[in-house]
Amino acid sequence: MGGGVRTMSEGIVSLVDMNERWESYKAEADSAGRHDPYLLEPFPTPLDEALYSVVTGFQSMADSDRRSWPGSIPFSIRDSQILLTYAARMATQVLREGSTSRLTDGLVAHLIEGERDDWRENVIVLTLLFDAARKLGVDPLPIFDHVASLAAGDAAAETLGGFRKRKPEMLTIESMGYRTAMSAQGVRYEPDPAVWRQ
Amino acid sequence: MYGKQLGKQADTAAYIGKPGFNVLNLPKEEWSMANNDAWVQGGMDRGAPFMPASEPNPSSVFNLSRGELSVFGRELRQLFNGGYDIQGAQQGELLGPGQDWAAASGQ
Repeated sequence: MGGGVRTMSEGIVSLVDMNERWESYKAEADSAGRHDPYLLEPFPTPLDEALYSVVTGFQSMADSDRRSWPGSIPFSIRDSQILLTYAARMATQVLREGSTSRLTDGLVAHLIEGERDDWRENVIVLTLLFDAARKLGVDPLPIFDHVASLAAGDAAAETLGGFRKRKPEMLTIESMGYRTAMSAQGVRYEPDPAVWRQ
Repeated sequence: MYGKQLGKQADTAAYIGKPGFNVLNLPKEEWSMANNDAWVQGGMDRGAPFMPASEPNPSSVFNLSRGELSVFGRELRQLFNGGYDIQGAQQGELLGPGQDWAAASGQ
């Protein structure tokens, strides 16, 4: 999957290309072979591959297309949940790979989702991405700012900028009901059952 | 009688500033699950009625991709655990503490 090579070498990605990538994602999301909860599936899955293509393509769109495209695609609550779960999986990959290369992928998934369902769900996964970068000793704020610049003025972009205003106690995964735990593939972020099932 | 508004932020926003309604209206940078819990618990401690501003249905209450409740679903579970009657709850319906609340309040 994708490795560390970013798509800037692809050149400009067209609206037609992005629509095809989105359709490929939808096909994977609807696949009978896919399992939920997606959050806990071993990495990578075909759905991860399809979403990687979407989030990297989004970064290589012309500015005007990038602004119009998210509003033009068929979108449901399930798409919101899948995109934000992908972002949470990228936080886990940041920890496992010891690299922030997946951080941007997760943040861009948040931008594409665009807070269409409930922005509280976005804040939760953004806190995981923020935490993952800090656990590597990397300041996440410049990366958050860079991704926000891809959709400057959008509510989702402003949410990224708002992370520099959060108090330290509001940047912990515990304050969002999450924890880190070990799985067969290594460490991962997951909802803390003591919080979500109380 | 009005109530505290639960639900997705896009839905609760319509009640901000309306007399008789109480919405957790924090800036995003001040929101956390812990603060959300405390706000709901504060209302429960006073026996306040709550009103779902969003329609409770499987996709709004449960996040299948995460394998857990949504934040909205979690709010409803918090009410249930606190003794509120949420059976058959609908958008715009007042939910009160105890099974006799609805009858006593004329709901």
